[in-house]
Amino acid sequence: MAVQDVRRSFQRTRQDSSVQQLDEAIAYFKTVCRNVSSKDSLLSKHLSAIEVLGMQHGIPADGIDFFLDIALSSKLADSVNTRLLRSLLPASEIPKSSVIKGVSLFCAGKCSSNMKVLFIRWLITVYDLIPCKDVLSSLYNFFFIFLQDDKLCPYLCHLLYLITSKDHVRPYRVRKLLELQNKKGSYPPLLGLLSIYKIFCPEMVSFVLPSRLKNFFKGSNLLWTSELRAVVKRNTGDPTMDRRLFVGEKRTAGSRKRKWNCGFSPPVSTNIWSSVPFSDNLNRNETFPIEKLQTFSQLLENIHRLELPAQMGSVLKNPLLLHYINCIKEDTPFLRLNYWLASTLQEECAWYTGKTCDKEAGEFLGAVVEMQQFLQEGLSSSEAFLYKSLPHWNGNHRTQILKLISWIPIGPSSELELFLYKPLSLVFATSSLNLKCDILASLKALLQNWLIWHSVSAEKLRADTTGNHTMSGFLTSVEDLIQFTGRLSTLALQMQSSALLLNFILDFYELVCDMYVRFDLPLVVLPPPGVFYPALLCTDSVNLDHLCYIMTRYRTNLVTVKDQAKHKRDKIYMTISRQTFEEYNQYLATMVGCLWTSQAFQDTHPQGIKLDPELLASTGVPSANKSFNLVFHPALIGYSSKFLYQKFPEERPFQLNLIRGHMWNKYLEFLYSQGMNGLQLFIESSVTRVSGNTEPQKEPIEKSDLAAQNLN
Amino acid sequence: MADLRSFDKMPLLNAGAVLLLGGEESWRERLAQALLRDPRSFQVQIHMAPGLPLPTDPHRPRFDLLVLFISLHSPAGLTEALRDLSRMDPHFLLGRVCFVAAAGGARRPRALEEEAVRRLADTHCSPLLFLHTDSEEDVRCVARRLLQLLSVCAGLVPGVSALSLASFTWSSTGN
Repeated sequence: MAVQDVRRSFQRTRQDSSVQQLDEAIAYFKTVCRNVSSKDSLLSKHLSAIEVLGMQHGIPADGIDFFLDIALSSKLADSVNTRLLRSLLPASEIPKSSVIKGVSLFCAGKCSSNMKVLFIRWLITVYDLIPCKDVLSSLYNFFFIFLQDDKLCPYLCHLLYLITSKDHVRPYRVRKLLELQNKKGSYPPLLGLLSIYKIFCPEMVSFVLPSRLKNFFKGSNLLWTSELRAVVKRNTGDPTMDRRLFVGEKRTAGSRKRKWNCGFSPPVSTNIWSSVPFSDNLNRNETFPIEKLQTFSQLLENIHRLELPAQMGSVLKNPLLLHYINCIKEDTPFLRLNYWLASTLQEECAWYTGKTCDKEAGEFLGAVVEMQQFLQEGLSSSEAFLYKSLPHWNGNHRTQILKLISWIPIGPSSELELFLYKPLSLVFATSSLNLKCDILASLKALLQNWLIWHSVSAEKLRADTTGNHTMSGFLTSVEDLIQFTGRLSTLALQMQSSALLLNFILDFYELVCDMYVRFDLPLVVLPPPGVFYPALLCTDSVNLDHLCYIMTRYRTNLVTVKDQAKHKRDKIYMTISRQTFEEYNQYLATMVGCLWTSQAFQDTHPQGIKLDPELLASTGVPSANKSFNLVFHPALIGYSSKFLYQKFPEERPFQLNLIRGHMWNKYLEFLYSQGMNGLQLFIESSVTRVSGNTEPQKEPIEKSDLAAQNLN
Repeated sequence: MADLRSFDKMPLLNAGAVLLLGGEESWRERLAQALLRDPRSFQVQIHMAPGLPLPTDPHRPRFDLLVLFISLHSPAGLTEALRDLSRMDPHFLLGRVCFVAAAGGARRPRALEEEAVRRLADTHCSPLLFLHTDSEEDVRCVARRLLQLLSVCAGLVPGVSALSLASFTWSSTGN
């Protein structure tokens, strides 16, 4: 039994004196007569003993039951009752019978209105410690009737807000609430209750809720939050304490109002059902208790009779319930989750309103990220939270925020520009190298999520006759994201020329270059010159190889575009503009000119690397045109030196110029053997070798294949 | 006392000078400490003043970056910022001014709308950062961002000027 557990632990921690005091107090209150003076010394001694015990360790369940009875039956003076109820801080769960007894005394009208208010506030405060919420649910009507009472109304609204489930939303109740609303005007607690009704049955509540109002209920509705938290914390520290309270999660209780104490609600209730055989239970009950839900097969068998918990927050860390939410056709669970998340994020994580947000907020954001990853979908509430917080974001909770960014659902471009690109570009411009890389990685993940979402829903879009609209909107959003990342990358490379940064940027473009083939998206966006040229002239071979791979993939995509345009004559395949082909050819010509034909500095691109021959000659660099070919390229010179050393270990003057003719081919093979697969693909696809290995003295003169150029 | 000039002195070698203006003194000090604590590759000189104009001092360096605090708790925050802006060389506004809207303490009432502060920053084409002075982490992050900005403004990043950075954050959003 819970009480004995509590007692045992008390004894173990040498606190039996307080338990003894409690027993004495119970004995005293059993015998106390009706007209005892509230100033009686014995009475006040026992009262303060209860207070101390309550605030420090909480009152065990049987004590709660007893004192609740005393306090609500108005045997004693009101001041005594108030003190008594105020100190009833539960040490463990509150049994069903106590709740029923309390509510029946409340309804009996014996106690004063102040006591009634206090009792409701007490119920709200201990709400999470009531294991079986269907007790309250069955008492719904009793509470509802008392809404007429002006004094009780705000507190009852809060309580009903917590209890309400879909079944409770009935037309006659909505009518009653709207009537009250008309009478009272814009009354936050009523609006709060209406808002939850609206979430369950939007069609019944046509009433427009003011969107600015978020805090319907004052925190003052709660009796003792920090004390209760402290008691729970202390009790969790003791392993011999009532186990039921702390089953599953180690999370300590937060404030009651936010419904995010997933440590309490669903796992706690498990033992309620244990007295009844499992099969009996199923036959008797229409709904399957979610506490029983342990395995995936159970979920499959009972999917038609599941009822979601009263506290949506508990879903967050329960993969099975998330599966359920994901596959169920009804919108309500999703709406509820979204609504709950919006208010919790606003309440707990909104550092921009000046709240102090600690580790707990970070953990919560982490849980939200995990949930979105699990659902493979960004929720609009976390999106709204991001948009509100990004202008204030200085880099705290970095991992979580960046992951949230990558799950932003695709939206109209103008909105993204205002809420995402604008604040993010300021963050990016003033961020360290490390954060820049992280932002680029999260933008890549964002693009990937969009593309995957598109490929999943592409079928639907095609079938839809109005699909074209959505498609063009989607394309614009994707293109804008790529252009935005292109601008960020250009700036980043201007500010810091770092191989790591370049690697992240090229990672992004590795995804971009393949959109046409991999995701069937009629869109080819080339990297801006600010990315292409630094990558081409970079000093490390990994990035150069990466660039070669990317350019090859662009080529494959563009060739596929051309093929499909020829064969299908389908309008959708003609959307790649001529300009893209031209730009690609310019890039390709530059690359081949630099790496292969040793014709650097003859670029035709307006932002390309072009120098007048006279100016180049005046620099005095011997054979400057060769300086970016496969042998002399700063990223590859290490390889060419190594190759040369392997071939001519005793060569006197070390001359890289020796690598030509058939040596050039050997050198290429050497490069391929060193893992330069991107380079291999690039050369094999983009360079056709017209004069082969016949003339060993001459450097290979090859023509780059500009097949894509002559497209009409 | 003359207005604050932007180009009347030689720049410092491998160093950046920043002037923290306005706001509450404790905030300026906390930010200054965070600025000095953060690892960086150049020297940082920090000067602090409640507002412009500054008393004449021939040894004062050339300021590369002006950080204008706006207290969200004070109703006069905006007018003070505007007064300071009118007393500085307009050349500073070419990318070398950064607004920091600061607030400390959840309990203290806010007197200024964030929107008004944002409008002020937008009309002066300068970045706006938000600082929550209660959070140590936030102060550190803001200091780090300001140091990045300072390194550009002090000309320590080859190829990027303060103006080009400002126009980037401006143009990247299409307005």
